[in-house]
Amino acid sequence: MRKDSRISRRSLALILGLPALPASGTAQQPGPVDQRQILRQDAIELAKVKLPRECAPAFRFQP
Amino acid sequence: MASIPPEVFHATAVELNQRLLRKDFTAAELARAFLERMQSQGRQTWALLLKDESRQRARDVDRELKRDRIRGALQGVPFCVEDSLSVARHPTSWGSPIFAKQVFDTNAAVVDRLNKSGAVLTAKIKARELGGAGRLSPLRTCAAVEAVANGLTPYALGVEAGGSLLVPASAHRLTILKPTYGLVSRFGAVPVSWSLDRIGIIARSAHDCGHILHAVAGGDDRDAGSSGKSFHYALQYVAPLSTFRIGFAPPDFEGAAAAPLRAVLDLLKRAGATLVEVRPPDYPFESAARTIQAAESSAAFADLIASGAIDQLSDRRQADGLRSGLELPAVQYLTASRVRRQIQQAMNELIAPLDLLIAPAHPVEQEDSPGGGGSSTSGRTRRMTAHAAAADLAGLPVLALPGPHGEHAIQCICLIAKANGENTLLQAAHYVQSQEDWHKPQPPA
Repeated sequence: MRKDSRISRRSLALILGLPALPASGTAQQPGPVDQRQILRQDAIELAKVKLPRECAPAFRFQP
Repeated sequence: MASIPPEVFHATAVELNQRLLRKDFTAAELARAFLERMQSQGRQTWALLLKDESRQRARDVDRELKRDRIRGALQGVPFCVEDSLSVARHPTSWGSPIFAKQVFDTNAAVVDRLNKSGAVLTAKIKARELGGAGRLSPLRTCAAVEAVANGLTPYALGVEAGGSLLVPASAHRLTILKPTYGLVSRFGAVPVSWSLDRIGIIARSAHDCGHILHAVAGGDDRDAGSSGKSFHYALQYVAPLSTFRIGFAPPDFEGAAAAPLRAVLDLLKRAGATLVEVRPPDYPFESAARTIQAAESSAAFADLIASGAIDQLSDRRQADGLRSGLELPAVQYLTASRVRRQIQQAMNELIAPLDLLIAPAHPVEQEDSPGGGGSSTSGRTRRMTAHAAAADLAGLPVLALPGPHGEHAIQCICLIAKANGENTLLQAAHYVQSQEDWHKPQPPA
């Protein structure tokens, strides 16, 4: 079975250099499945858009 | 002391200023009346009542008016801001107990600018928790909108991202202006989504929106998104409405729910405007907006997610949304941002030969049946029509104003202009509101 690749809250805190909760069985809450599914579905919708390779992201966004 | 008649609480800011200049009452009396109303009604609405400061400010304005020092149409008129905007030396909780003790030593830029125009800040309105960061769809309720709708303040300002103010303001038949991205400084505002956030103006008329925008717009080095542009509310320099070319998508106005809004089209046509049929660009607007907002909100509040503090949020789904955003692949965020670039180009091309676009505030199917489906707006745009959602991502100015009353009907219509074309929006909206009373509160049956 594929291992869950989600990053734990504690690991994330360590990566970000922030104070982390002590490691325990309760530190990682069960995942917000429906919210994740919505965003995964969004990824599918976005992937359907044909983007020219030269299309850059809208950073330094100005209308 | 002059008594304040009840109709004052539903007057526009411009009307109140005119009454102050006519000396019907003083700014101090007006501020006191609004504060008393705030205390007696809608106690759940307020994060903070600024009683002493507002009374002092109002007395200062009265002294200015006695010396004939006129600052403009907002002078002496009370207003409120969401608790998502900072007021110096007072708690700015961003609507959450996590930040209950947060105090800034500077005002939000818009608060400072309104102070300079002589407006009287009377209260901070409870904000959506963390300004709504992590919510994947906007709430239909908003305390700032309800405060304006219930006559507790003539106008209010808050942080708008993805329809978070526009959707509830439209439901309450208010006029709301979302200025061009970068025109109004967000310094001192909660960061919900850096590339989407704008300061929204909730008011009772387009005329008020114009004066408020005039006061708050302008460049600000403290906001990385500031365009450095300014705005002068000057309808006299805008081309007459009879020369306007206004684009609309016919399917947006089909169906019983949109029927009353066809009266708005007819009104503009009678004024001499040319209506041009257009097709909105077809992109996954909601997916792009949600992805960008989720990633940016989660990055802004990564420390709270890591520490577990977001579990203090009252809505579990919001906390879940923030966690989900942190797990979003970088490629998805970049793809959304690239799609956004395409949407921006498509909208600029669509609006280039036009002066305005016009669309209902919500898709027709959303009002016709809860299940939705059909129509040009497609199931992807559940919150706003394709045009409004695209304008949101493209950073274009949007003004929503109420149309004719109607049961089970879409209450508001959106006008969209080119970037920094706010005067064009206001010209059309002001014409509609000068011809019809749709924006005025309906007398009780």
